[in-house]
Amino acid sequence: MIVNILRCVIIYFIVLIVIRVMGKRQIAQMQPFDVVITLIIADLATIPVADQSIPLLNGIVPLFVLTILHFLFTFVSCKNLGVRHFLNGKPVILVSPQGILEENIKKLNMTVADVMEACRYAGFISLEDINYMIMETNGNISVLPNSDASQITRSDMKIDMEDDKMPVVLISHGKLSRENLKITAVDENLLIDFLSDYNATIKEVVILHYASDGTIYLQIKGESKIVTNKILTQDGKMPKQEQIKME
Amino acid sequence: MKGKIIAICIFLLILAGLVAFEVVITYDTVNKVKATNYKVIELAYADAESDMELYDRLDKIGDYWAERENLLCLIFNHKDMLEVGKEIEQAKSYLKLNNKDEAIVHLELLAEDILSMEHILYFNLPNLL
Repeated sequence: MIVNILRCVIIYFIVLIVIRVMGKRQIAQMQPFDVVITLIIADLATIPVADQSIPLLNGIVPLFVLTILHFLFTFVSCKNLGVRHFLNGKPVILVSPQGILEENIKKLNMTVADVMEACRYAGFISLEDINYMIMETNGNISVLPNSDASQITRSDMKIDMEDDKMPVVLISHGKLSRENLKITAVDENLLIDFLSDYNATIKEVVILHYASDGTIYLQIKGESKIVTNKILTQDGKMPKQEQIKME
Repeated sequence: MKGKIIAICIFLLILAGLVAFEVVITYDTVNKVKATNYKVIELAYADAESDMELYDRLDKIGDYWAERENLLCLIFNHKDMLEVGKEIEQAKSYLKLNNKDEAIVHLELLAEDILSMEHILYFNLPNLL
């Protein structure tokens, strides 16, 4: 039993490393070859865990080979359009301004009901509102509404507004991010003083994020959120935003 | 990207190391056990050595196999390794009892086991497919 537990732990970490090396696309929007590799990985990882007579390396070696293959395919498909089309396929137009493209939906084994479902899923009741509907290579459906159904934007209204500022997390779960403190040029003592105004210490903070316009969002354990505006930099300037480290 | 390339290079190095290890260990072990086994069979048929001398030869190859079996188990299925050790021990037991005929039977079986192991362990087209 101990051997099984240890094998399981080893395989877990190996698969974790392999997935990390393969990248985030492996756990999000998968192309056909990503799907193939993910399915094989899942199967390979369980074999040496389930059967002790099979060496652990018999599971690990194919995982490494698949990672290398995946890297090569990704690399080549980035460089060569032909290879990319071969490996990933091409996006297919399902609906055009002329209406549903029957031939294309047949090729994809889809029905008109599926197209209607995708239409509703995208937030449109009628096909009339849609200019284009495209099946992407990763299986997602993109919808381009026609001008009558599309939402009005600020630029349509010619309203000039500043872009929203990305808040930087300075404290989360009672842990101060010194890196973000440095990036934003926020002074630690000023931050502690600010917290003492609310009778709190860093450890008691659930979250504190700071936008470059000086807006502070603070939540202390067991209390409601506080949104305020204060400059916490020593020179009195607004905090910087470059190279934010996401928490 | 740099980190990914480093990781891929490490994977490639590990794979190359494992392939080299497999080739050296497998061919070396199987060839040595096979050669010694044939030699013992030859001597047993020719009645050229006493049972105890044959026993000593088998004992040495048994120790060698036990040592190498641990390494082979890292890369091959444990079940494929079992028979060889078993046959060596059985042949030794019969030689200890001065029953050369039974010992020869097990040595012949050992030769067969080694041949079938070669089929399983070596790199060849049937194994590949």
